[in-house]
Amino acid sequence: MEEGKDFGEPILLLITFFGVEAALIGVILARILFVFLSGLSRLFGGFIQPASLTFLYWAIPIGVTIVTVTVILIGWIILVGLTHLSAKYFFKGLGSFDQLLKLYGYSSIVLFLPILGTIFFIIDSKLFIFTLILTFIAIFWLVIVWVAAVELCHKIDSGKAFFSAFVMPLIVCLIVGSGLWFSILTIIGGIFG
Amino acid sequence: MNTNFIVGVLIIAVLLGGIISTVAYPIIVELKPKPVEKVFVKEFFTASLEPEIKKISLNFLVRSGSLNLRFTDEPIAYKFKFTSKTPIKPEIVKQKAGSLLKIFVYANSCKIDILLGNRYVYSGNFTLFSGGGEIELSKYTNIENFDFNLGLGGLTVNIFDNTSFSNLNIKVSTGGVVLNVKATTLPKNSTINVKVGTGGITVQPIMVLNSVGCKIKGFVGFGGISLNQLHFEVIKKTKTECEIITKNYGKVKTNLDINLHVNVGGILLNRAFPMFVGG
Repeated sequence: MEEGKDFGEPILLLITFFGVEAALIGVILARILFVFLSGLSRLFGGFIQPASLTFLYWAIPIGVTIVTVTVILIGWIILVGLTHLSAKYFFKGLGSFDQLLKLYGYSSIVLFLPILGTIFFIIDSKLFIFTLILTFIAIFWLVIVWVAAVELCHKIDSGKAFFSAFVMPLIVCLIVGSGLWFSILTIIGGIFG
Repeated sequence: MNTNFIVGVLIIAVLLGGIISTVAYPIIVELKPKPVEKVFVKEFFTASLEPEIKKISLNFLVRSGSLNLRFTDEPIAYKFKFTSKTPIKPEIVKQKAGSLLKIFVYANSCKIDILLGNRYVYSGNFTLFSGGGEIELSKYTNIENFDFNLGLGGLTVNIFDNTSFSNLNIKVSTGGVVLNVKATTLPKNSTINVKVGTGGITVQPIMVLNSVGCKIKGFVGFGGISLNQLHFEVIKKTKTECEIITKNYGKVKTNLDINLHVNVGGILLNRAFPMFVGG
């Protein structure tokens, strides 16, 4: 168990692995945007010179990394909070929030698979299938690690742990997501209706 | 070596690979030599025509690509250069009618560079279904009427000192037009009409001297106008309409009229295009 350790290590792992993955995705986005703007340049009679846009290769990965790491850190606390609430109060688990937070932080190591997949894609876009396969394996593995972490931390059975680690956050995400979606639709309808 | 050590090394290697890829990619992109593309070029050049020819009417119908037009003091009647990545076969038909020579040009996807001299009076109709273009009218220009019709794309029009033209009509269905007028003197009254269906018109800060009066009218159906007054007087200014003139308009020998019309979109008047890097 991660009782004795502080939060430094899991946070560092979380930031490193998600940061590297986000930076790689940023590089791909920059490439797509560069190609798009180069096409636009030809279409619009040379308003935009692609040569002046090479800074995008630096700016976009940095921007994407900062935004992703911020979102991930907030998401990490929310996800663990939801899982902990479910395990502790629905299934009378024995673990603590801190313990679970640390274990979830360590689980970000699994991201080395999508990182490898993204490197493949950057080297050659024809290798995208490997990116997909490695990403799916990582997602599957991540869920297993989370379930194991909840099971171990709260001393509950795997079914309850799966519900707390996966089903409960999913239900909350769907409710919040659909609520937001309908709110946006109502606001848009109110403006243009 | 135990398994944990090997797995740890592998994970760190992947992580380092990711960091190196992120940092190295922009450098590789900058240093990588650009592949040399094979291009097909066709040139049509005529230095002089029959003595009775005084006017040339140009009619271009191009499916897609770019169209660049400029004038020179070289002793030529016209020079057309077609550039394409695929083999190109432009069709050129000439018809003589008295002192007028009509030239009809049909082309598929290509880049066309048109160079015209200053010994003839030119009129023209240029239709491009999609693409872009740059028109440069200089002191060697002698135009009666030029019509540009663009389906989708953008056009940059540069008008410099002493450009001789009567009418310049530009129609763009979807896209944008940038007008760059730096004509401190004009030999005759000139009119520029720009009509855009969906998109925008940018008129870079207009530079005319005391010898040229200038009136600009702008209309936007759905959208807005952003106006920078500069040395102009504002006659009318609403969200969708504006009219500005220089103090000397109508009082001097030559006047420049610019009419801008956008159905859906916007007009930037006397404002620099945000990403414009050319003259």
